[in-house]
Amino acid sequence: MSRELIVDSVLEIRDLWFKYPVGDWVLCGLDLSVKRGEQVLIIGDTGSGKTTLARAITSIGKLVYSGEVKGSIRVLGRELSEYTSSELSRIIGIIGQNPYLYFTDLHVHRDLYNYALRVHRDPLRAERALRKTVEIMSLHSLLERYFFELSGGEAKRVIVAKTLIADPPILLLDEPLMWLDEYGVKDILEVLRALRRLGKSTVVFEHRFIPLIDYFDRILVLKSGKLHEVTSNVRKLLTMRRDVQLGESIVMGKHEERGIVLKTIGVHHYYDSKRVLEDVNITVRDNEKILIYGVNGSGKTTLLKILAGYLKPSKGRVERRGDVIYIPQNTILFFTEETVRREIEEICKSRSRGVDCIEEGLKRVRLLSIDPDVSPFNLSHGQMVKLAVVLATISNATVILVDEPFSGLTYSDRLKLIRELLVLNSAVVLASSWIEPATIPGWSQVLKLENSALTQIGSIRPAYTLEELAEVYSRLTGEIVA
Amino acid sequence: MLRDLAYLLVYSDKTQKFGLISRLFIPIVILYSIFYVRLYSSTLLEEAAGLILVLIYELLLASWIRGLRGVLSGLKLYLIFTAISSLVFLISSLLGVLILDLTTIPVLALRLVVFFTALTLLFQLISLNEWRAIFEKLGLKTLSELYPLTLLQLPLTLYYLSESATAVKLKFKGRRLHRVVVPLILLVAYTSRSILESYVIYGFSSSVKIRLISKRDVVVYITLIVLVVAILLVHVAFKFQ
Repeated sequence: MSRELIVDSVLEIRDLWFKYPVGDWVLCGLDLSVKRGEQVLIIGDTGSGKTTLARAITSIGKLVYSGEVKGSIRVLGRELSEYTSSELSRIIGIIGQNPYLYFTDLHVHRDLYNYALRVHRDPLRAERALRKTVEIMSLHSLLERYFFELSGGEAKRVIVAKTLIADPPILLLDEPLMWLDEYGVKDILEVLRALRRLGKSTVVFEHRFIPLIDYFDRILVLKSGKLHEVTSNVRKLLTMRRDVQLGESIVMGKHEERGIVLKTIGVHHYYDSKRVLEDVNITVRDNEKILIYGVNGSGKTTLLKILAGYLKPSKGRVERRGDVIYIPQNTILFFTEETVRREIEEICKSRSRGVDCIEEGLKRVRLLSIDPDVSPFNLSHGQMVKLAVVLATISNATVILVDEPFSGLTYSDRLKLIRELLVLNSAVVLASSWIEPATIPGWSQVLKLENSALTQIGSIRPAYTLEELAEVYSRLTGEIVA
Repeated sequence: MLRDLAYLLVYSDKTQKFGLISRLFIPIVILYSIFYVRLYSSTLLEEAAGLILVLIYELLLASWIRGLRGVLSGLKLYLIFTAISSLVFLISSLLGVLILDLTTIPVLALRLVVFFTALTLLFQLISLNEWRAIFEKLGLKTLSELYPLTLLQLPLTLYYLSESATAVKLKFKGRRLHRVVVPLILLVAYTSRSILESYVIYGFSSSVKIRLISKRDVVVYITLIVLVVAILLVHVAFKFQ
């Protein structure tokens, strides 16, 4: 019998310390033991070190990021340092946050086949391994596409399949639900069930963990560089289920007197011959807060770009009365200057606003505990979104369009962000593939973009409101919701 | 539009049924034809006629590879280059640097489009594995791995460019649009580490076989001969006019 088969604990981490070349220790004496076939969930704040832990386990932290590592990581009974990187990639599979970066060919089938050939070194065996994985992950319909044509959920499924080609006993999934809508979440749940059936040990790092909760054997919180077991606490906290009627939170008719700042009239849009939007009519009044919910690929970003005036609709028209600002999903793309201070100065200058505008901006960023002299590119995702909102506010934007700002944020951070957006003195149109924001009171309209049409949502039935989710998370991590 | 441009930079599996050598010949012959037309045409009209023949060949090829999308991308390119050429012409005329005849502009634009389309055909006709094999044969091992990794990111980078352009245009009310490159460069720098991660984990297969020739290549050579003969006929026709 091989040494690998007699080891019960497939991953054994003792007193692990990790730091990047710049900065303090991220992991401080962390211990973790994962048994064969065990499913472990690790949650924690943004920047708590979840991705770093995944990098440490796969030795990527040392190889790619030149990190310093202390302590012991034993994989299948052997020290991590005893493996070559090629051996390790066949024992530990990792599925990162952005699946699009894990393709080594543009064409899905070719990408999978090339990797299978690299692992098995024989075309027949490679073909067999590929067929098996395609079957397990139900990938038939995706094989003939380019990777950039896949939705986030589909891309993640393909990368899980790619990882499974090497048949690794351990899989690490870093934020598998990032960017995914409810269907994508179902896809990932199917993936996790398949991994359990295959007897794989799985470690999942996730912010939006509630939909996956029933799947795991153990749940741990990563805080202050160490792991803390919270499995029983989570189960206890998640007992309440109820329906949420959105009608209660919508104040109908109150905004009739306010002026219209943005309006679409019979907007249709097509990409080639594919219909994306059909007869979309939306009216945004001064100071209104509008949530547009839709699954991945439903056309939310296209609609926002049409509202912004960047895309011209194929048919219909858009009337704008005022200044519009667009905050993209990848918030880093919003910033252009070396420092936060320069960002404020330039946006004020572009509106021909003087010193008052700059001072107001500086005051606001200081309230967010953001140093005006740091680079906006060095801020966390949450801070980037908040800074973008501040810039939009001081520019006196009439309408702020926000595209999916929640990726990488904890439930508490999501709640705080929505509350901040809801009290802004501008109209806000927020697009989300995640319905829970609708459970927060204060939206003027909650709309659904489905089958190219935009309709009003009357009520929804999520298992939990966002406030409940944030409360569960806060209690688990000992954080207090503001 | 950026979506269409992205498709100009990705290869199609449809082209793989032909041998690599014949596929390499296509852009080479097209580029040679462009230079031939440029050097041996005595009038603008003659050059335009030659270039139109090359463009028709390119569009036919693009429509076979990508269908209508390929043709539309080519035509959009023509419009963009015409706009750029017109702008350059206008500025040059205002500055008194370069005085051109108005009829020169469409021909200049046509020349650019035909040339650019020939280059994009290189990406559409040759797969990443083949690029790797070509560079390896040339003894450029590092480039054989770096180049496909870079090509892989092009479609996503074009998407990011579209996002950034939307945000920055509105942020500064149409001004400072050149700053779009700042977040784009930073994002590419950030993702490059993740791409390196991906390379360490998955790497490239080393034993992919490349088909150099195929019986079907005859079709490619015939179409290229037709193109060359057509250009020569136009040249002769203008000479004896």
